[in-house]
Amino acid sequence: MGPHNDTAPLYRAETTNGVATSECLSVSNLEVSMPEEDALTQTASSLIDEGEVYEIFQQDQRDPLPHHGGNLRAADAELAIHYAREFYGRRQESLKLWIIPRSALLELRNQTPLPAMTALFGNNIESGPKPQTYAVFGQKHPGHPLLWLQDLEASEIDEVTLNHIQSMADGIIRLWLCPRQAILQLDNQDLLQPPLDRSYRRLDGYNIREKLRIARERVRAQRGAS
Amino acid sequence: MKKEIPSAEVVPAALKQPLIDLLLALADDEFILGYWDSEWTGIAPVLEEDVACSSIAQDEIGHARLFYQEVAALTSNNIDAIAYGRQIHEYRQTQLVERQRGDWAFTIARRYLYETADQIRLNSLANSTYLPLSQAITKIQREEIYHQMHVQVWLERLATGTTEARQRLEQAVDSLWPDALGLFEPDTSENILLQSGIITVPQAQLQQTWLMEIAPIFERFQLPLPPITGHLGGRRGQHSEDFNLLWEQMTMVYRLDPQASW
Repeated sequence: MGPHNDTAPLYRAETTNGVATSECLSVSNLEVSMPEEDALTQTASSLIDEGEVYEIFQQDQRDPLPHHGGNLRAADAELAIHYAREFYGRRQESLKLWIIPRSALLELRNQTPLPAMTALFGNNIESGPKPQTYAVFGQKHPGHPLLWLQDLEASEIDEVTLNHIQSMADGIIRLWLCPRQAILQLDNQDLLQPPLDRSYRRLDGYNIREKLRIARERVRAQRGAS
Repeated sequence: MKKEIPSAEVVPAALKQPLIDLLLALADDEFILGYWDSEWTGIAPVLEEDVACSSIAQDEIGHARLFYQEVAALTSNNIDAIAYGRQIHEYRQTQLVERQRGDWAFTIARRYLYETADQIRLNSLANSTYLPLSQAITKIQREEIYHQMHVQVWLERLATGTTEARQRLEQAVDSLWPDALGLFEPDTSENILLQSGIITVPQAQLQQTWLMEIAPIFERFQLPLPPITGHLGGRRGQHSEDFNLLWEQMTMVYRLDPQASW
């Protein structure tokens, strides 16, 4: 993505019969984009079909809200859910996972006037009835994970609302939006909180401290006896 | 209504060895399969699959541990001695799980055959009169759901995938069927276990149920169907060359010093 040129129009709205076409999303002119891939992932992914990228949000007992945990690649949604459970739930750290294809997410970085949501989302979701509800995720500080902020009805989404969200709580530097229906939710407790003892999988599961204590006591007892 | 056996201490003498043999078969199946599957760690086809596969293998060994603990309660041996301290002919896994890892198609085909059979086996034991066993199985079944889902996704992916994927899968299934028919090998102590309700369904019937359940899937994917007879012997301690190799490797550390405390 090239540097933002202040004098160029924010986007070129080429419409055919009033319907926005893909020319709208000319990336070099637009601050609206997919969540970024860096140069390395772009090169690697062009060589092999590694599947789609899915962004994973997780929520555990202490969280009131889902937060971004990372992402993974999977061939399809079903495998994505399996892998999400492995990467973000194998130590029972999550009560709920949201698995969202990156293609369903839009990233917004600046506060200049935005085109209508239907124009933006028109190319990212399958044709059919337009989604009514969108999830909004925001990042408050660089390096901190995005948090789910709120849901918005499609009719509510406009520049004013988004500006309002951005100005909340010390300002939000990055926003993601996706249709609620694109979010795959995993909350099956058999999968996320399996019934068998898995403490051996946690870093603190193999209790060195306890074994050292027992060994010290044994040595002390032996010395005491001699 | 058959009488429940609430704990290891009250198992009637005549039932003890058959019950131990049953538990060892369950444990050894999971243990050996988990062992081979864990070899994929670091070399699975896809990074995410590496984690998934390793995790499933760990689950299997966790399930084996649960069964070994039940054996320990009946024999007063420690579970390390039970898991690693036996001679080759004392292990009771079916030969299906002791074949070497093979390629990805082989692993998936074997897991599919095993997991579908295991589900039927576990279902039949969920109401065992031996309560420690039925309780362990209830927990294990909740985890096995995920294993079954995972392997079904992969069977379908390979069966409907590229020419190479299909070829490898067909070859794998062909070579695995004789071993798979050893899963439900008839056992001499079956009658006494049935009478007491520790097991509720004879092996032959379990095998029928299993074959009837998976035949349509194999037909749909045009995969080879089973032959008439299979390789038996696993449950009687007769094992393949592959297991000799595995036994050497997996018991090596234990045999260096069986008395060591870990």
